[in-house]
Amino acid sequence: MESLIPVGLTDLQGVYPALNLAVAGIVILLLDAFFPMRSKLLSAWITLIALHLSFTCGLHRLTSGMDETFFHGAVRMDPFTHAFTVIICLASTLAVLSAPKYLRLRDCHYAEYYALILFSVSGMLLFSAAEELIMLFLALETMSIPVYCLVAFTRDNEYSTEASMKYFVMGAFATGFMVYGVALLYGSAGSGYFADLPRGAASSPGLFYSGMTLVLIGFLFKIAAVPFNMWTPDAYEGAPTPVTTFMAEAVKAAPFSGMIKLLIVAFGFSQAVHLWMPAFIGIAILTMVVGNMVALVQTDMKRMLGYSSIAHSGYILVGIVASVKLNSSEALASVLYYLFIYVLMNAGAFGILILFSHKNKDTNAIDDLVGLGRERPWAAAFMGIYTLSLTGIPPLGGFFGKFYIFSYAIKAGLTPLVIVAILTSVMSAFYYLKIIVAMYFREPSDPQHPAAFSYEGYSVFLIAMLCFTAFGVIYFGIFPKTPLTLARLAAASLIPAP
Amino acid sequence: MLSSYLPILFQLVLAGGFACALLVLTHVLGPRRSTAVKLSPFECGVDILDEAHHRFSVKFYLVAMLFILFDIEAIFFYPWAVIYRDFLSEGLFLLIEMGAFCGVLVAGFIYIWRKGVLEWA
Amino acid sequence: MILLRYIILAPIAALLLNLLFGRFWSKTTTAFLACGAVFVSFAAAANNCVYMIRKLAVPEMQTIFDPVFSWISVGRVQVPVDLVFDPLSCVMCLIITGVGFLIHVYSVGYMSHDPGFRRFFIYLNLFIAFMLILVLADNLALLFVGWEGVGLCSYLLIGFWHTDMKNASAGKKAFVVNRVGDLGFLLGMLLILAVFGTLSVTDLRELISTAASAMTPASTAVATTICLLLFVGATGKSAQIPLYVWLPDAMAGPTPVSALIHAATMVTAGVYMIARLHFLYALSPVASAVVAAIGAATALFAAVIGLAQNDIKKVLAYSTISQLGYMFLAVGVGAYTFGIFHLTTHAFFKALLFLGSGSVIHAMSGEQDMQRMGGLRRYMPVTYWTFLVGTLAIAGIWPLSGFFSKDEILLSARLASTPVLSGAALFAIGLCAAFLTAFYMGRLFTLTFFGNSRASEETKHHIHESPWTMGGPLILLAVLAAGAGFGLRQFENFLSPIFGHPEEAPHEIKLAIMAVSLLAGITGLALSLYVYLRRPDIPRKISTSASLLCDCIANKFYIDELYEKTVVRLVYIAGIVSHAFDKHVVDRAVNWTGGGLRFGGFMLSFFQSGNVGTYAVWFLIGVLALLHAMGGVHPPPAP
Repeated sequence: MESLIPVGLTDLQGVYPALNLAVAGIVILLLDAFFPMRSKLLSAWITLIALHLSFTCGLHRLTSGMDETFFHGAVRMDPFTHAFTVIICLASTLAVLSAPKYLRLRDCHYAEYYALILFSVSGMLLFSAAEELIMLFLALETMSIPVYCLVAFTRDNEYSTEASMKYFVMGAFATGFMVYGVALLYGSAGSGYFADLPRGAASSPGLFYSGMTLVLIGFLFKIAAVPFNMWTPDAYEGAPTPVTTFMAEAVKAAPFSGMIKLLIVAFGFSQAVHLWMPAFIGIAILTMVVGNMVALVQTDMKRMLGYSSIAHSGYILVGIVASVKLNSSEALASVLYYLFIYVLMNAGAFGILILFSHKNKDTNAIDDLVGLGRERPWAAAFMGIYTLSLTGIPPLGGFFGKFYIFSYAIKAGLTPLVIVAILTSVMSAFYYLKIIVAMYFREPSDPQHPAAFSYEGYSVFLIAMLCFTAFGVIYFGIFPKTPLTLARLAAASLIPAP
Repeated sequence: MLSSYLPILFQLVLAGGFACALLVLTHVLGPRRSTAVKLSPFECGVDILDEAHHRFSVKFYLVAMLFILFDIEAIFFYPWAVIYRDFLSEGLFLLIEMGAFCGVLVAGFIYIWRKGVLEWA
Repeated sequence: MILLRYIILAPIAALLLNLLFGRFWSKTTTAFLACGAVFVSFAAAANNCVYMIRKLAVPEMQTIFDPVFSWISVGRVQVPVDLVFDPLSCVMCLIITGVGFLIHVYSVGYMSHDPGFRRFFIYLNLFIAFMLILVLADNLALLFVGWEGVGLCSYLLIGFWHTDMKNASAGKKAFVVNRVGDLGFLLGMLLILAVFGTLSVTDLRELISTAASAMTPASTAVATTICLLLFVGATGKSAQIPLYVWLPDAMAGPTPVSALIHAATMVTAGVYMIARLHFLYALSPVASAVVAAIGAATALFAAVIGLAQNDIKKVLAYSTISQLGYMFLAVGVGAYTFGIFHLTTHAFFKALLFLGSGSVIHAMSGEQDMQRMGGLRRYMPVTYWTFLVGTLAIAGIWPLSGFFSKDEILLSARLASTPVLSGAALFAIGLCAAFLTAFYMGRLFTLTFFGNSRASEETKHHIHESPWTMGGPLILLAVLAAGAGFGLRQFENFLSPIFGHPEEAPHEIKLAIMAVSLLAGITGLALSLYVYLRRPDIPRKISTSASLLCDCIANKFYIDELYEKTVVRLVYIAGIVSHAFDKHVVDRAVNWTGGGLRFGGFMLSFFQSGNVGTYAVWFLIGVLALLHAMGGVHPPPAP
């Protein structure tokens, strides 16, 4: 006889990667409550260990190909989820590594930072696992709310609080739409399970498609697709740089995971695809064009990277559209690979900014980097690697990420879309290379007093993070086999081979 | 499918209609004799001390927020308490689960306590 | 047996260490690392060589193969990074690492006062690595990587003292002239790829050995085209007519560089390439004949110019060009073994001469003009004696090594018959060149070491024998230059798996040619000794009576000026035109596009007002648009 109790120990074991992080977060809070003087660095280590455990667990499950459902089908731990567990844990680790020194410089090195990160990440991990609307929504909010707080973490800084407020208001706005969409979907289908949703399209299409639109709008907001992108530059600029790092990679990758799963499992039937695909193509074009064009005129690096991250969302949307159109797991794997590389190169670029941030002031303006190539050749070289990879110069990872996505898009017959994508990538070279030009080729405006670059943000954590990302961008660019194989494994669980 | 929601709609209409009807009825039926005392915000014999729009200490919001948080958590006890008897045969699992839930709550409580949120001064 | 990749990896590792951490340690460590790495390479190559000699009886053991990784794999075209070690690359490896090691050690002394000490050794190690790639490559594409790489190092090292404009432009000249040659090489390579579908030398050899029987006139023409195109590359790298002009200018680099790159190793890459592809040249008698003719002409031409140079390194540079001509003459007439043998002996004695001249220049506080030297014999015994060995060797005096190699080449030339020049003509040109070689070397030697010193008092005061790091390599190279000739028979045997055994010439011809070439060498030396020691008025008389001719020779037949007036001028005009096009058409297009985009971005950034209310409005517009596009407004009909 089946147990009457709806939830058992196996369910908890199933969501171990997320659970582990949540428990670690609580432990950190308690630790801070009792030993406030000593908790900071210890929390950082606990966070790293917890993330590492989840990471290895995800990797192990991915390689062993575990595919089970828990909580009565509300959570499905399939290789796709595991792949995102790996990517997100990696991204968060990089963000955590960049944080301690920066926060100490700003006198706000609190243990809560790590707890908030952990709570947020535990939400993200469930995000890619959710196969039920309520679960999806819960995961989304668990992910988002700590991030609102994190953006305001340097609470004496008015930019930081303002950014948080904007982000929160807009986020709440978007969440409202999403909840509304969830309600409509549930109303039309009478069930929240993704697999049951297509039923609703048959019985009451009006409700269903409105609901679908509203739910997708919630996602498009999170991934900062145009015209739901307005919060991105402000939030990225105002947030403390380590938080920006976290937002630009982990908080970005997680909604993609949820969205891909939703699009393929719930909205993957042909009528729905016919509706959302043209809209997504339009949004992808808008996103790439607006993101890249506005980035051209930015003078602040964080803002510029914010717009660049909008543009990259556009490229990823191209990949998603292509993989749904082709119904090919290989194409989806290229999206995963792209996200993986994107995490690495973005983390690195922000890491360099953190490296040179001062006690009261960030080194964010592009003009601040003038002469870096001469003064700090290593840091400049690293920054060069990241920017070149973001531009998409072979043999770095960024190039192959774009290359795979675009080639699948062409195979899917989306040539006009790819033309826009390539043109906008060329456009992006303008502003990425501006950084390199500033570092290597521009003379300081006052030759008597060239800018002094002091490694105020230096810490062993940060250096480890920079080395790893730079190495990863190069290594996984030249030898993409391992990540690609894993990505194929993951993608195949969502789009089975025909 | 939608027809199953009809009772809810009916309920909504009924509740809204009742409230509206009462407002309209008092407006229409009630006699109106207004004096200065009657128009004051609190008609209870005490002289007005101050404006109603005060700035409250931020502590107030903190406590209020925490109250709401814990209040909502407490709601989860009700369904648990209602069904607990039916699951006695399953052993202690349900009890342990509630224990874990309480544990998380207590952890939060300890945290805010130690952080001094509850100290008013 | 040691894996071939380790031979290359050693210098790369040393250069990376020096590049990344060099500033943290002393010059001694830098030098030790750099020299040690080359020595490790040498030891590894020698180890493989011994292994190979032991297995020489077994035919399939004659090559060591090391597939490193697959580099390019596009459709039909496969370019793996495969290294191959056969007797030919074995000889080259030993020369590069052996002579390279000695020159590294020498440089430690020579460059000891230079602020760019570390940079110098990084470049040198890089050069060794690229040169090893060049000779170990099985694939022509990989060979080309080495080919370009050594060109790069050559450029960097010629312009090593780049603060002086003269040196920098000499480097540039070398680079540009080489580019012309490389274009030919690249075209030849692409043609090979188009015809044979592979760039692997091993595969090519098999393909050709099966196809050789079915040659048609058309395929011979194709083979000739390929060979000539490749030879254009060789004339660039190995400084042959018409692309030799860069080598004399390349003497602007530090002297060890001249010895290593511009005498012993890099400039012989062209000879090596032809020897490596000898089966291809065997298909085309015309191409081989052109190689021989150009080689002979260069040998004579450069020797004539060498007569009238006063800069000690310039004389040696023209001598190098002339000797390279000999090597091409040899490979052109099919005497590959002797070409490579001359390459080997030349590497010894020319490196010796260059290092000797470096020692002289070092002692003379940087003076390079021979007319201000003289009488150095007394001050620098080690340099004097080793230089003497080198001079006798290059002049072809028995029993030094130059005699054997030159003699064999002359013999092969005499016996050859080519479609372009007859064997007798080639022999005559070679003999003339041999005589001239002996003469100008004698002149150099006399002016430098004999007679009275013509240096200024201050310079004279500084003259000293060089330190042991410089003297040691000189002595070792002198021993090699003196004795290498006796290894001729073993050398022939060792290379026979590749080139086969050369035919035995009739005994009387052999003896006659030996006598004649020895005579040419001795008379040349004796004449120069007599003229410049006893009758210094003779050259002066000649230069006044035949001033036009002398001017011509001293100014290198105005070839540089000719190139300047024709090729360079043309290219320059083309440059001006395309610059104008670039500036006024391309740049404007780019700037306008960029400007337009920036303007667009600027306009779009107005949407980013910073006001949350505005954001919400745009959000709502987006929602409405999307709802219209995909929402419930026009639900699709159910199927």
